[in-house]
Amino acid sequence: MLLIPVELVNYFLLFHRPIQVMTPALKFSTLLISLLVLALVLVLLGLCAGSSGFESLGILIPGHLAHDLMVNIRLPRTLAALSGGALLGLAGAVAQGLFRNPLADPYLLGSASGATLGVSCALIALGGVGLHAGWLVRFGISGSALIGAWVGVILSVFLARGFQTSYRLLLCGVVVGVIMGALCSALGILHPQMLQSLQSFMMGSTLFADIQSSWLMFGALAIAILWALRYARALDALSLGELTAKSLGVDLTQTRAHFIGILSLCTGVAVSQLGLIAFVGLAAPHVVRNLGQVLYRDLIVLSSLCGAVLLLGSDIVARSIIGPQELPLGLVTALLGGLYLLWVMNDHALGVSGE
Amino acid sequence: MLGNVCVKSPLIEVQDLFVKLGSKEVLQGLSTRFDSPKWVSVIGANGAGKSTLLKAIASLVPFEGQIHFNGISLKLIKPLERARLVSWMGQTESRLSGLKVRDVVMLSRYPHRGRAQLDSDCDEEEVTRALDRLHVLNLQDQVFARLSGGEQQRVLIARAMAVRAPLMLLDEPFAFLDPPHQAELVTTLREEVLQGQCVITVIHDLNLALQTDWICLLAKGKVFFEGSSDDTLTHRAMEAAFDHRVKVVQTQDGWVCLTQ
Repeated sequence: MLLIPVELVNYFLLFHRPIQVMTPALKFSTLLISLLVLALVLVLLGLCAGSSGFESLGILIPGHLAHDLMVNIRLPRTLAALSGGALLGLAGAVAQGLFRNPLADPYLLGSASGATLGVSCALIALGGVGLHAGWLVRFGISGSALIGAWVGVILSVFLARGFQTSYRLLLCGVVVGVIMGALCSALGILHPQMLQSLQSFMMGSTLFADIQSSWLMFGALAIAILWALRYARALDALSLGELTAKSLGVDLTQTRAHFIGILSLCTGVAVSQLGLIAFVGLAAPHVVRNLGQVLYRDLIVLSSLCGAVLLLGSDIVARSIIGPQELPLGLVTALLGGLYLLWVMNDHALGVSGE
Repeated sequence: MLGNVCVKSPLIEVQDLFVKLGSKEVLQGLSTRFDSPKWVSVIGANGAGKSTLLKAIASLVPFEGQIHFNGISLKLIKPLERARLVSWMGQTESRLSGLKVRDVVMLSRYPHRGRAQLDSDCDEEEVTRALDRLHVLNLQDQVFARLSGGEQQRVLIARAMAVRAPLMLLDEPFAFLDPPHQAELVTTLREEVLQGQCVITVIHDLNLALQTDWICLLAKGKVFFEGSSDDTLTHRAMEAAFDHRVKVVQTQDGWVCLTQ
């Protein structure tokens, strides 16, 4: 199950603190424009690519044969990948800033396992129907995923007795994740018929996303970005150490509460619409930081955009590379993300250690 | 202007300070006062409570007892206001920040600006001044995490200085610095004090402590002795506090502390 690597990464991040490799810095505006252009190109690509292979840009004209296909299937999926990726990129940047660890990902407070447990319960309650059933079923599953994710985070915060220390929060997040994962496995043994559908959820996909999903995700994104930008300066101060931030007047408890709220909003909404998508949240902030942007007011916006680009790119690959079949989206992101991390770690191994 | 015109309160007054870290009673009823402008060095054996005293004054650890800033209890001052009055540099804080040096020092303006994102001309000037005083202006576009220990140390001191707080607390500012940079720092801190600032530093090197104005000697969580760094009584107290394994002697250039 993909859940185990996610938990291992969470455990690993408690002790390991690598330093980023810096290439010459690009200006914020340059990076912003480049990412926007890339996003636009990918959107066009996404509208043209699909299970029947690539079609020309003529598909955008209403008279075209495949135009309806484009509007009803590819457009919602493309927009979902864009908005979902943005949510995950933003959440990743927030998680890495709040816990001051470049290996943090958005799922670290039990939201992934919570969502999975929620979906398992829903699948059992709905009598083990496939995810191909009607919209009510899909709504029930999305809703359970969202509630499950939020329950996971609330439980972690409750166990940690509030927002007082980062270390305690992280530890409780891991504990909650493991316990919920175990409960989920137990449910799987008792009701094996739901396992296949659960597996599809955990692999992640844009298959079940419709236009409403994108509206929801873009809405959540707008709220989350404004909310995060409001407290971004506190994250910068935190990079110098918690006591230093406190000595500068940062209210640590309040800051943590706000950012965990932002994290839950982003991951909950993204997971409910797209399932579990690994590595986008982890990699997007890294890519942006390696291109020279580390101030959080810049990192928040660019990381979102980068996440959107990464997920949309992965979705296009997933949809078209072995057409007419589809690769699971989570698989593609995990592969690409894993390769990227390997490459980054290799770079560090050649550098001076202990720096 | 805080404080009464007729009666001048000391800048910092500590009364019966008790601080417990984990299960250990680190400060046990410490009382002292510091006036401005002065350069105070807090010295003592390992574990005497020096860093903890500074953290308590900066309100970074919970404490019992009274700490007054210009006559007002620190507990009554809001965090951002307190951050404008007391600036702190820690000994073991993170040095992994990927921010550029200029952005690190710009964070010193947080108490003045809150969460606002755009920095004013005044902020830019203060940052440039602090970078210049610590001779790290040429490093301002470099990534903090990639600097050497000494360079990072000077950037962190610049960060504390750019807050322009009336009270500056520096924990082991001379660590990682080679002798020429240590001498430069002594000159810089003396100039800050001349401009009216109160600087309290925790120092391990007793020779450097003898170059400050006032020595506060801690032992077992309390003040063992306090006095001017020129005073022979202070010197005898220092020798006693370190089990007579040190000796303070006069040389042509000033007082020197020898280990035996």
